[in-house]
Amino acid sequence: MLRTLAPLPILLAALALACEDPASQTELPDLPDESDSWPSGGFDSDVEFPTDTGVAPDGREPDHWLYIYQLGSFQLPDGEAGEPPSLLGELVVYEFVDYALPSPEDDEDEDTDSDPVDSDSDPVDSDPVDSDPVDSEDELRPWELLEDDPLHCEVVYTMAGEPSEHPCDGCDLTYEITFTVTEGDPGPCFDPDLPADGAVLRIGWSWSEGIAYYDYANVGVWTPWFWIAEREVEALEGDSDSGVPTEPPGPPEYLLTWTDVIGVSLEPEEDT
Amino acid sequence: MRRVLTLALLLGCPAPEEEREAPVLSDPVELVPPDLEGVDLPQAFADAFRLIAGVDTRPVWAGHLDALDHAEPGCPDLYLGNPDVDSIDIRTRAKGRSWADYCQQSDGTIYSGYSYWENSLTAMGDPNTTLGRTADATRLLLGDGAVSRDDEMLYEFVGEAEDSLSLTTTSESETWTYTSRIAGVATGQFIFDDSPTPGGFRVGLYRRSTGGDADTLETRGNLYLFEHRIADRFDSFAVDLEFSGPLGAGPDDCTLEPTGWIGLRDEDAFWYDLVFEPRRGGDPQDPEYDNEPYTGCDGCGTLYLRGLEQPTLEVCMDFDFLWDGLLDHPRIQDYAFTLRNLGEAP
Repeated sequence: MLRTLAPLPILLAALALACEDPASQTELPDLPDESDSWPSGGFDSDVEFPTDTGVAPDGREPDHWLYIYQLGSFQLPDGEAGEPPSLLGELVVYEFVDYALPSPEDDEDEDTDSDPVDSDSDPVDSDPVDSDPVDSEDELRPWELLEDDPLHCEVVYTMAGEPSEHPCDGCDLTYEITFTVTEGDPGPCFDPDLPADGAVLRIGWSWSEGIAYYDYANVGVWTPWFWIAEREVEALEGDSDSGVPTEPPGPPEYLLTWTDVIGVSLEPEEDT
Repeated sequence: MRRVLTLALLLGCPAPEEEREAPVLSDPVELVPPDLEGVDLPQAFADAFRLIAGVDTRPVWAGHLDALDHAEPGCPDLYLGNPDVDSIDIRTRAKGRSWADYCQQSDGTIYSGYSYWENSLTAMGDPNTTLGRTADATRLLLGDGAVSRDDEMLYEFVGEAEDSLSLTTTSESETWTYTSRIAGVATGQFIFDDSPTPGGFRVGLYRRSTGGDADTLETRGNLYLFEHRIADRFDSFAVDLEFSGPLGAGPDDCTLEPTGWIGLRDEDAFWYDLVFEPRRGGDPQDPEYDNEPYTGCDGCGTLYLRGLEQPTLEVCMDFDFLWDGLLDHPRIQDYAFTLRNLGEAP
């Protein structure tokens, strides 16, 4: 079992960001080829099960639901004088069968109960010094406490990018980003569009739209790929008693998110 | 009981001598060729060739996307992969997507059955160089699905359609190969709005065409039109031919006519077959060439009506229209269709 600590605070931060009041989020433009009936204005972290909206004589619904989470973050550290900054970051992919990650609201609602999965404080806010790292890790991976592990696939990529010579129209920045698998294997994942190990994706984004676009197959088809948002990195408070100085805030961190929920029909051996 | 049956069969059988006496018609019925008055055969066959260009995976795929555009959350249900591994046999290892349901939307639109599709697009190289960029793309659609509203069929495709495009773009040129196979039944306004074949068709047709450096066409199969009629008379065609266009043809290639045949069927089920057998290679002035005079490279074919050769009814055609972009390839971006396009943007 993979154990990934670093991306999970990012994940929760991404979920928290996505759970903000929709009115406070950047209004997203209408995307082409979409029915008006689809929700707009950002993704919902606590994804709702699709429901048949009308008469369905055979009552058919998927036997299983696949929850896809693609959550990443990157920074643009200052480059050499006059040089554009490089991009460094990480992308984590989770695919769960019949399991949705708890949203931050769920954590808040259930903080008062004694459920070991959701007990204690929000992992993002917990004090790493005072808490047991092993326990924290378990809390960050609540699905591992379930009897049947719903995790179908988990992949961790590092992202390293350089400014692209082929910017996308309307984007503020475009990078050629190399995705390197550091944990897991994208092979078993359901998503057919996960980057292969070492793949270079051309991704550009528009801050005003809050969307990162992927130049699909590098043929100039710029496809909305991630929501993108900026997260300020707060200053670390020092401790005058022990002489630890306050560290200034670091460069901002940028969060990439995409989630989806879709039906799956599993082969008998998978369908336990 | 069995013995009784055997005895009855023996008693009922004619004598061996009687069996040998086959009836002979003293006055065979003459096969009457159909009346051709008012039929512009060259134009009718040209229209059939034009239809070949429009009957491939593209219109069905476009209708499929329209069907997805009209989806609502939960109707139809969307899936990754085979929507029902117990009941639907999809013999592919690729990672496709699908919809499957029997549901009714708030406006009365009904989705029933399923559609499964795959698509891929890869590209290597830089189009701004002399070596260029080569993009390879494929699509596959199979299913038994329909979308309807009230009494109106919006989309129906039962069968399998797939196509592929290999497109090399350099700083100076573009070369391509497009292949389509489609077998099934397609109807509905999502597919056939503004189509040259309104009403839909039942089809089994393969087509491969190339362009950029060499214009070629290879096609075989058949098509039955539910409503449209060629020349107000023909409801079907069948074809099996290869053709080299002027661009890229070799010195011995005949570019004025194809090799093979195309047949039209009228509503009385009579077939009108036009056979082209151009001479290929050898000395064009050789008087010993087989099957003269039909082997000339002149755009003229031999007509057969109900299987009977019509030596006095030569049909000559000008095929230039085929090479003026009629057989062009789809756009490469039409192959980029991902989970993100299914509504949960980005």
